[in-house]
Amino acid sequence: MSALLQSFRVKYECSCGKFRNLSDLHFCRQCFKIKCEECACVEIDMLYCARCLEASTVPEARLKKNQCFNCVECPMCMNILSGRTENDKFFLICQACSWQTREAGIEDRDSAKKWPVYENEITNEMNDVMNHMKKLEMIQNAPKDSKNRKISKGWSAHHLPNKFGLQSMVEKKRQMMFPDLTPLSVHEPEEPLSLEEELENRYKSKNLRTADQIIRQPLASSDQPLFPVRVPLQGRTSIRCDECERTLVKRDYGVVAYKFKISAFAREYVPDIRISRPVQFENDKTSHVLLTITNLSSSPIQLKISPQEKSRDDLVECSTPPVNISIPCSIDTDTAGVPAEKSDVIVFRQHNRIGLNFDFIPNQSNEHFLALSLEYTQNGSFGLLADKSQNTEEASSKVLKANVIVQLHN
Amino acid sequence: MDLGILTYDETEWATTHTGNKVNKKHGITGTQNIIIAGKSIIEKSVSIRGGLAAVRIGKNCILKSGCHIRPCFKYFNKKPTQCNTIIGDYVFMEEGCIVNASQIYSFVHLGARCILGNGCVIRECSRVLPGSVIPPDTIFPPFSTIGGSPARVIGNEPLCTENLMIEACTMYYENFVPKNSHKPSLT
Amino acid sequence: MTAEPENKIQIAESAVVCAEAQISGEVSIGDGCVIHPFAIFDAKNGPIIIGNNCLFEEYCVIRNCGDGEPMIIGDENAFHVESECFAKYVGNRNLIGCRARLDRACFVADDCHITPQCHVASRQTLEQNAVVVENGVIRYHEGNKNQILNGQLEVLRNLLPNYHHKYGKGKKTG
Repeated sequence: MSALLQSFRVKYECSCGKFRNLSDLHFCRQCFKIKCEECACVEIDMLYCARCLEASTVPEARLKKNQCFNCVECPMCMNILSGRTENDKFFLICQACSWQTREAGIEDRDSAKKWPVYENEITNEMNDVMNHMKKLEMIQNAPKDSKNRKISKGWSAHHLPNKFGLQSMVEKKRQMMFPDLTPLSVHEPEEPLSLEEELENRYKSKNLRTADQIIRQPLASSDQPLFPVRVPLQGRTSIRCDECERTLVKRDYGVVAYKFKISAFAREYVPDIRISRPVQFENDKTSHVLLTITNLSSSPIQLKISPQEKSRDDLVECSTPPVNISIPCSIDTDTAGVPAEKSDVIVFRQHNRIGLNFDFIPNQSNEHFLALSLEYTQNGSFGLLADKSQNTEEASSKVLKANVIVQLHN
Repeated sequence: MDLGILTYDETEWATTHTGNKVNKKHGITGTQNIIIAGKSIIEKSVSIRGGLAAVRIGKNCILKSGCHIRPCFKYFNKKPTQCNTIIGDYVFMEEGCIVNASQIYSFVHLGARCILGNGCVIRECSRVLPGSVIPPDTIFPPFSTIGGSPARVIGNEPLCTENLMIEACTMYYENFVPKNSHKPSLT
Repeated sequence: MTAEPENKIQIAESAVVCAEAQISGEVSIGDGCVIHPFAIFDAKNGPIIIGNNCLFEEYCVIRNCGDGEPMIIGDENAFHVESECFAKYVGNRNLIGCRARLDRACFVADDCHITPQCHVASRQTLEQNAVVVENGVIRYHEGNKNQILNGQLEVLRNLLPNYHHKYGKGKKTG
């Protein structure tokens, strides 16, 4: 929906210096700063499969090797495969490109899970080497471990008869400390295929594969058929401020939850500026842009908007003086308290919105950006402490700032 | 940018008591099976096939011209049936969408000329890019940006999409006024 | 639609054709076909002969662009919403997706699958089991076409007469 409202035309400056859309920004209520996803800490909250929407915790996902058990994708078009039954056996079919598992030579199966995947040939060798190394590590660490243990002076269990099974227990422990080592054969290095051989192999097969298809199945050589690809799990994130470690965004429990337990969107704490009408440019003459400022927060705002100096070539020169306005919040029912100001700059006032007219001189180039700086104060409800109803006066005197760049051209 | 005022000719539109504004040149059939919650706008040439199955559309939905909503067809326990279509609140469908989906949840924005396959499910706060083709029987998680043909999740929507959609759809409905009414030019 | 003097429309008894469909010219529709409302059959330039058990969804355009030669559509084809067929010959059990287009004088054999929004070029011949994918690539799938269509047609034949008048009899809705 940001596309419909064209909110990419107004960018706010984050505390890391980058300019982003207001809908992508968050507001830390403790340090009163605007944070974006790049400067805040992003943590993974939950892992889920994007196709079947099944959740799994981090240790479960590690067991599953970060892949979904139920879902496989079509190797041709990366669409999810649906199951069909024939004669009580399952096969998979892609509904977008009509690829079937029968084309890969996979026979129909009894259960719809665990479709074959290409294995790496040297996996077994790798596992052997890993186990060997683990044993070596234990041997290396054994004297350290025994040093840490209390040295029991006195008797040890070696001399006891095997009456209560103590001897075998001690033997077992000794084995673990000093495991037997079987010598491993050394893996001989192999010559990789030269480029000409690779290309020759590739063109021999009837169907040329796209780069995407090859990348998703690197273990399938060019004469082997493509198998279905397991779907990787995706992470759902929660965002935390990097300076004060407070959670900014945390979603509700459940994969399909779209509500938030904790949410601190910048729209609710920073006035939202939008271009009201398409801008008419008059060459070298003073042109106007009508901006709407909406207060979507829960507190009335005293706002001062000042256009900034033309510091870059693509910024336009704005001749409007700084404006001081107060905008009530959307919940306030008594808007009669706001004086009807008459000014050249304020065009209209409605509820929690104000329309302002800015005059500017267009640039010579095709790009026109208007830089504004906002300074505003609120009634103290923005801070976290306001929830616990403490010290609203301190918080309400703090001046919050935001820098905005408005894209005037299309 | 603010959504501007759109005027319409009162003779071409009918308004129901729940606030729905329906263009008289629609292709809606089987109206007894269609429930539209309220304050929705249905433009011309929109066809909703209520004759095939029940269609339930939420409030503040906007269906622009040329959309087709057809209940999907599924096999339940080997029995073929036409299933009901449920569309949530604050859904914005741009021109020419073909919706064979079984469920579209709330706050979804469908781009122009997109094709939703038979029985697909689009969860909340997602956006479908214009021209994308969604294959049948696919499910998409919330906050996904869906595009391509066959369509996949290619990005994430901003987390405040719910508020944005509510604001945009309400603004669209409020600015959709008859030609002769006196609405101040800036609202 | 008022019958014009040149219309020679033959609809089989078991076919269900909604009254809102626009049929003009010499069209012959086979047994068990289901034609949704607002489908357009334009046989002004030449006859259209449709086989049995075909499905034509709304706003699909079947037009004979040739010069007097008949356009033949086989059995058990499915033409989805807004698809356009100007082909010369369409075989059996094909699936033409939404907004797909079969350009003039093309030949489509049996069991083909044309994905939504794809085109089959003019005078192109599609062999059996072809799949036309998004960027024009033609793949050949193995395996027989799933005959799911029969169940769907059965349901539609029972459902459509409840909400639409049959073609040629009674007034149209909407």
